[in-house]
Amino acid sequence: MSTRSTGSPIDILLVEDNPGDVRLTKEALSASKLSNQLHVVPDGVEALAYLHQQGPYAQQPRPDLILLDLNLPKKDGREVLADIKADPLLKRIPVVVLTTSQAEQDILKTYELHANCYVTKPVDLDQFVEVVRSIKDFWLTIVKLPQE
Amino acid sequence: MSPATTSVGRRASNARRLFLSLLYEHTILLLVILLCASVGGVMWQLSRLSSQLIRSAALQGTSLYASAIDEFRTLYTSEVVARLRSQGIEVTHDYKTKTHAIPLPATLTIEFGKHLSQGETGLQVRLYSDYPFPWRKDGGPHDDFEEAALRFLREHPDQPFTRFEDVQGRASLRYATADRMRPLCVGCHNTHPDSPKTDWKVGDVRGVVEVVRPLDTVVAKSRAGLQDTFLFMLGLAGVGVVGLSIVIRKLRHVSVELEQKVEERTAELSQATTALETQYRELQQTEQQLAQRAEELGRSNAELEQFAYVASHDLQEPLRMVASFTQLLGKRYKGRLDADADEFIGYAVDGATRMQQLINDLLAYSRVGTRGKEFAPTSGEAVLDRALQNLKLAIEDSGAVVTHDPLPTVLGDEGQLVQLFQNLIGNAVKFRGTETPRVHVSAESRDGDVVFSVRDNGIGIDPQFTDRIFLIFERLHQQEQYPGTGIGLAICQKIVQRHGGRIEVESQPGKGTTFRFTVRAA
Repeated sequence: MSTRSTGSPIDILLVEDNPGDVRLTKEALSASKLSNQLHVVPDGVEALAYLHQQGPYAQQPRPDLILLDLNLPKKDGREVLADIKADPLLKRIPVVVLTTSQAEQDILKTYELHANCYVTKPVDLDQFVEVVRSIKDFWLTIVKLPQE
Repeated sequence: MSPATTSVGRRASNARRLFLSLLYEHTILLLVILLCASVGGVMWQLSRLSSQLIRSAALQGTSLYASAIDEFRTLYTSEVVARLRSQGIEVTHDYKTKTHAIPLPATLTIEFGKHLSQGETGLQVRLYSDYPFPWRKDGGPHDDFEEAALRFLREHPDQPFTRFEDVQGRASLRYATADRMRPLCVGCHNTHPDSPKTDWKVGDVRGVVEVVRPLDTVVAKSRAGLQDTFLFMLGLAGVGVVGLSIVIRKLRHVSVELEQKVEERTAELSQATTALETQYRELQQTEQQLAQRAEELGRSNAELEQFAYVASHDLQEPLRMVASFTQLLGKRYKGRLDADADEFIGYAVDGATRMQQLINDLLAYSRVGTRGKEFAPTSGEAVLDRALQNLKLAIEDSGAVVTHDPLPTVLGDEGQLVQLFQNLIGNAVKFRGTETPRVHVSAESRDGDVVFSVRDNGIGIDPQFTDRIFLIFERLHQQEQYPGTGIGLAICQKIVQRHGGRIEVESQPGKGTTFRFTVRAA
């Protein structure tokens, strides 16, 4: 898997409890030329159920990229990150922590949990769109990831 | 140490203690006793010496006396008796009753002795023998001494026989020498009709000549002298004791005064100690209070940090929503609603953006105190480079020229120093006039500190406001003119204060501004 053909849609899992952010992310991705499928779960528990293809998510594809917010209900982003990186089946999926927090301890902690990168959500809409697009381009077209 | 030696040691130390206490408490009594003992010892020694002297002088004198008597008799025998006898003069013991007669040598000696004895000296001379002529009623030994003398001198005729003893109640020296047969005498003695013994030979001990010399007057004189000496010494000792007593009393007095002073000083010291202890306790209390305060402060700091975190996340989240969706609204519907709607959307976006900036600046301000790093030697050049890197866009946009002198290494928190330079240079660029902005950074050493200067050619500050510019949220310009939150210089001042320095400003409106701040040199 080096460069994807535009034909096969890529699957992105967005773990986000704020519908506004979900909407903004969708807006940003819709501007992208790459065809993609955005899957959204509202909390950590649902995120892990999705990734383990449990319950209603049994037929869902395994995502190519995970966009993870840190402050989530039920099970927060740090715990979800730790679980993903401890699972041999899931740990290769790139996880981008996308959050409002600029706190140093959050940045340090997530890298210690093997997050692939940490991005602070910009306030400015244009910048936000730009950031989301950059993330997607970088992880799905520039970076080489191992074949499944 | 064995128990025996321990008890001996204890006894010894007890005795020593007793002696010392006696010495201290009865010094004068002990002195008197010691002096009396000394006087006694001296007197005893003197008396011994004097009696030895008396005896030796008596022996010497008496021996001379005895030999003089002997010589006189020998001379009489050879020079007088021998001559007169050849001329028919009779030599007899009863010469006094005859006309042509002279005394026998022994008789003359006896007479001589009698004459001598009549003097005041009390000297006596006596001749006696175990073979006395019949006419001499008292010619034999009278007492124990005379018998002993006869026995001794027969054995040792060349030595005198002496004894010190009382004679007629007077202390005397009895000095006895052998009276030996001389060649001139033997003939007479062996032929004399009354001679008790007729086989005398030359050298035989015929009898004893004894000189008795009374010593009592000399002894009495010597005693009187000794008594005078004793009295004199006693007087001297008395004077000494009195003098020493006075000195000792004075010393005791001084010692009592000293003890009193020592007691006073001790009391003062103990008072001072008590005061010190009280102070120490108060200090401890203060320390405890301080520790409590520190704890409270730490807690309030932690709460502040928690607040900062909440502000950074929970406040920004909804704010971002407001900002993003008003922007989206503007993007999608600009020109499709009326002019008022566009204007309102513009204000909403602007307000949200400024609030975002305000929150970020507030966070930065609160982090100066709570998130500071420990001070370390930090290169001034590197700090300036990083600050300029962060300001790259602003500098390029404004066409500003930033120059600097060589900057030294200082002791500080690198991140904060970068922010400090960044804020000051950023302000210099932001508040530019119509000319090309020029900023110059320089440094000089002063008393272990480094004084940095950031000088610009910007719009300057009215002197009446120079005190207010470091206050948080304080702004001198309208938002449209120079946008900002009014926190930048407050952050600068907080950073400088945390580094133990001072920041000040000097400005001429329209000409430029110079900010100076101090940081400790590395």
